[in-house]
Amino acid sequence: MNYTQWIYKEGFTTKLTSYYYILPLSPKSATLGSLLARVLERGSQDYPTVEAIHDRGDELYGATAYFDVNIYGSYLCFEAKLLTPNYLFFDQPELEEEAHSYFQSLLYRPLLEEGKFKENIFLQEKEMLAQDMESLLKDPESYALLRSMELLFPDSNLGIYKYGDPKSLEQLSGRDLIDFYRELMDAPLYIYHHGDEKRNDEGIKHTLEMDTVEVSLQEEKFEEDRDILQSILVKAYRVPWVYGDTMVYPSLVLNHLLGGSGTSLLFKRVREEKGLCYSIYSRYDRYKQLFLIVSGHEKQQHQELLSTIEEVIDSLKKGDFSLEELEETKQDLCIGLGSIPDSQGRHLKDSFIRDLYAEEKDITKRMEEIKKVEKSDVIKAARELSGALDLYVRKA
Amino acid sequence: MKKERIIDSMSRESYVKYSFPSGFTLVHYPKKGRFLKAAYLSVGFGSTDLQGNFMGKPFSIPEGTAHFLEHKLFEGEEDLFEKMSRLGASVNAFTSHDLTCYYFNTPIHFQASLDLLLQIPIKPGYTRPGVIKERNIIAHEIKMYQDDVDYHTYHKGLSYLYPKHPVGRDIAGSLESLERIDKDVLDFAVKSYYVPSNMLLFIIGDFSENEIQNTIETLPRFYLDKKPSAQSFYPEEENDLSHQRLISHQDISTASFSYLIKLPASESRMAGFNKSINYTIILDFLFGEGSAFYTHHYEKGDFLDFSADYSYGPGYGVISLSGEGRSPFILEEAIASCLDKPKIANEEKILRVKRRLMGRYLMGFNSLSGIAGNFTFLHHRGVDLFNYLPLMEKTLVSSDGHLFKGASCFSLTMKESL
Repeated sequence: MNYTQWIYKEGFTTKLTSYYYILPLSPKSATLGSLLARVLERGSQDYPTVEAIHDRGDELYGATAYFDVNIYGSYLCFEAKLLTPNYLFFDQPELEEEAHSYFQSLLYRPLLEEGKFKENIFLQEKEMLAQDMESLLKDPESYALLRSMELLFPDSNLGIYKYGDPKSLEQLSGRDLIDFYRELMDAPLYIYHHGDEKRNDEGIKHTLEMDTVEVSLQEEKFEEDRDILQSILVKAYRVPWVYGDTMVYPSLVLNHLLGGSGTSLLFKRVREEKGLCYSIYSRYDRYKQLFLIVSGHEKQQHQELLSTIEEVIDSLKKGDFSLEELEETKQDLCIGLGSIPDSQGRHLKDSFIRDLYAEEKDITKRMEEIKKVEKSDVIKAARELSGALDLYVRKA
Repeated sequence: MKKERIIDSMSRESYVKYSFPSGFTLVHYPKKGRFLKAAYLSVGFGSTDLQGNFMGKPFSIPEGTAHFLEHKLFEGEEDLFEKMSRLGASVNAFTSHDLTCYYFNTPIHFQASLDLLLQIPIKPGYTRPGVIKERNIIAHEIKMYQDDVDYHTYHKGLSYLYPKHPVGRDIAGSLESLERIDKDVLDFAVKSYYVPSNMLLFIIGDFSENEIQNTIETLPRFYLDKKPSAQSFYPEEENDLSHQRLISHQDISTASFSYLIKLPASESRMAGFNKSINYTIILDFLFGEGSAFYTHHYEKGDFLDFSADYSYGPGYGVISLSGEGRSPFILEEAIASCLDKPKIANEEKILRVKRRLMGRYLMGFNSLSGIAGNFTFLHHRGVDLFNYLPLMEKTLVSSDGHLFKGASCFSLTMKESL
C-alpha cells in the first residue's frame, strides 16, 4: 500500500520527510484527523509528555515532528512530517536515524491506556479543537471563505473544512479516535524524502479520482452583518471542466491575468486606478472547478466594487487584453512552476498531489503546456465562467 | 571600495561584502543551484523615525511616513513596479519599525530588474494627486489590520506602554496622520534618509563572477556619492507607569491577550543584540512549549495558543507574552507570578535550548527570502548574521532579579460576557 520517493537536491541545510495517508473524506473523518494530529503531538510511549518530546527535539538540534490534515480534492490527507538539520554539518550523521526513530515513535507508538488514547488527553484536545474551530471565525476573511464553501457545496464533501466541524466533534468518542487511527495505519501511504540521498522509488502509487462537482446554473446572493471595520466580498464562478481537462492551463492563465498578481487586471483597476480597496485577488481551484474573487472594502463602495469586477470580467470575455500581457502572464506562471524545487516543502507537496491524481508531474512539461495557451483559449475560459455565489460580509 | 569575504564555519555559508566610500553596502550571497535570484534594497528608515536632525536642523514628520513612501516609491519616471513585473520579476516591499525594504526575485533579466530597483530613491515620480489617492488605499490597509483581533490587542498594549516613543504607533500611521502626509513630506524623507550610507543592497542566488562584476560596475552614480543623512531622535519615555489591564470588547469566542513588559532600552546596538539572545533563551526556558508553565496551563485548557517574544530597537525593548484562550485572567496572574520570581537555574535544559537554536540557525539557510530578511534586519542594527552563533554559544544566561523589571500591561479583547 506504500509508495516511497526520494527527491535528491543539493544545497539544502535541512532534510524533510513527509508521510501522506489518504482516507475517504467526510465531516467526521476530517474532524477525527485533526483531533488525531493534536493527540499524537501530546506524547508517545517513549516520550510520554510534551516536555519529553521537546527535550528530545532539542537534543536532535531542533528536529521537529508534526502532524496535520489537509483536503486535496475529495480526499482527506493525514500528514506527518519530520524536519531536521542535515546532521553532516554537525559531523553527527548518526543523528539522522535517531531523528527518524523519534518521529516514528510519535506516529507509531502513541500513548495508549486500556486500548485507547489517554482519556484526559483525548478530552483536553477535543475541547481545544472546539475552541480552535471557533477562533478561526475571528478573522473576517477566513470566515467569509469558510462560509462561501459551506454555501457553495451544502451537500457535498467539497464544502468540508479541513479541521472538520463542531457538530461532528461533539459526537466523537475515544473509541472513534482509536478506530480512526487503526484505519489510518491501513490507508494508502505516500512517503517523500527530500535531501542529499540518491535512491530509487519504492512501492506502487495508488492514483485516485475526484468526485464529480455538480454545477448549478444560478448565482446565489447572501449578505451577513458582522462587527468589523472592513466589509468582505467573495464572488465565486464555476467552470464546467474537471481537473485533468485541457482547459485547466488556460484557466490558470485566466486567473493570473484576472487577479493572481500585483499587476493583474483586478489589482490595477480596483485598487490602483479606483482606490476601492487595499487587497483584492482571485484564485482558481481546479478540483472544485471554481474561481474565487476576494476583496476587503468600504461598505459605501460595495456597488462600485461589484460593477468594476463585472467590467474586468467582461473585458476578459471580449479579449480586451494584449498579447504582451498574455505572454507576461504565462512567463509569471512558468517562473512560479520553475521555483517549486527551491523550496523543500513546496516540492514535496507538489510531487504528492501530482502523484495522487496522476497529473503531469514534470515541471518542464507543465511549463510547455502553459506556453501553448493562446488568447482564444483564455477568452473561451472567461466566457465559461458562470456566477455561483456573491457573499457580502458587511460591516454592521 | 573594500571587498571582504565572510565565512560561517558551521554552516559553511559565505558572502562577499562590498563597502563603498559613500557608505553604501552591497552584499553578494551565493546560493548555488537555485532557480531564483533575488535582490533586496533596504534603507534604515522605518516607522519609528519621526523626529531627528538633518543638516543641523531639527525636524518632525507624521506617523506612517516611511510606510507611505514604501507605497509610492515604485513610481519613478516610469512605473518601476509594473516594468519589473513585466520583465518577469515578482516584486514587493515592506516597512518595519526601523527599515523599509524593496525587493524582487526572478530567474530571468535579473540585471534589468535590478537596474530598475536601484532607481527607486533616485527620481521619485509620485504626484500630488497620486499621494492623495494613496491615502485612501492605506486607510483600507489600516482598517484591515484593525480587524485583526490579535494585532489590535497587542498594539493597544504597546500604545499604553509607549505613549511617546513611536514604537507605540501603528507602522502605517493613523487615519488622522495620513492626512498630514503630502508630497513635500515624502520628498523630505527621501532626501534625508534615502542616502547611500543608510542603504544596503543584498543580492542572493546563483550568480557568475561576471554578473557580480557587472552589477558593481553599473551601479548608478547616486550610490557612489557621499550625501548627508538624517539622524533620528527618540523621545525619552516615562517608566513609572502602573500595571494596567486594558480591555476591549468584541463578539469573539476566545479572548486574545498580550501581557507586555517594557524594558530599558539598550545602550548600544550590539548590547541590544546580546540582550535579545539572552531573552530568547530565557523566554523559551520559562514559557516555551516544553516549559512547565506552558504544559500546566495548556493541559488546564487556559489557552489555545501562547508565545513569548522579545523585540527591541532604538529606544525600546519589549517582552510580549501573547495568545488566545478562555482563561485570560488566570494567565495574567500566572505570568506575573512567574516573572516575579523566575527560576532559571537548570543548566542542562539551557544547553538543550541552545542546541535547538544552533540547529534552527542552520535550518535558516535554506530560504532565499529568509536569509535576505535576517541579514537585512541585522545589518541595519549593526550586526552581522554570522555573529549569531558564536554569540549565542557564549551567552551566559543571566538570572538576576531585574530581568523583568519594567512597566507592564495586560491587553485583552474578549466578549463582554466572558
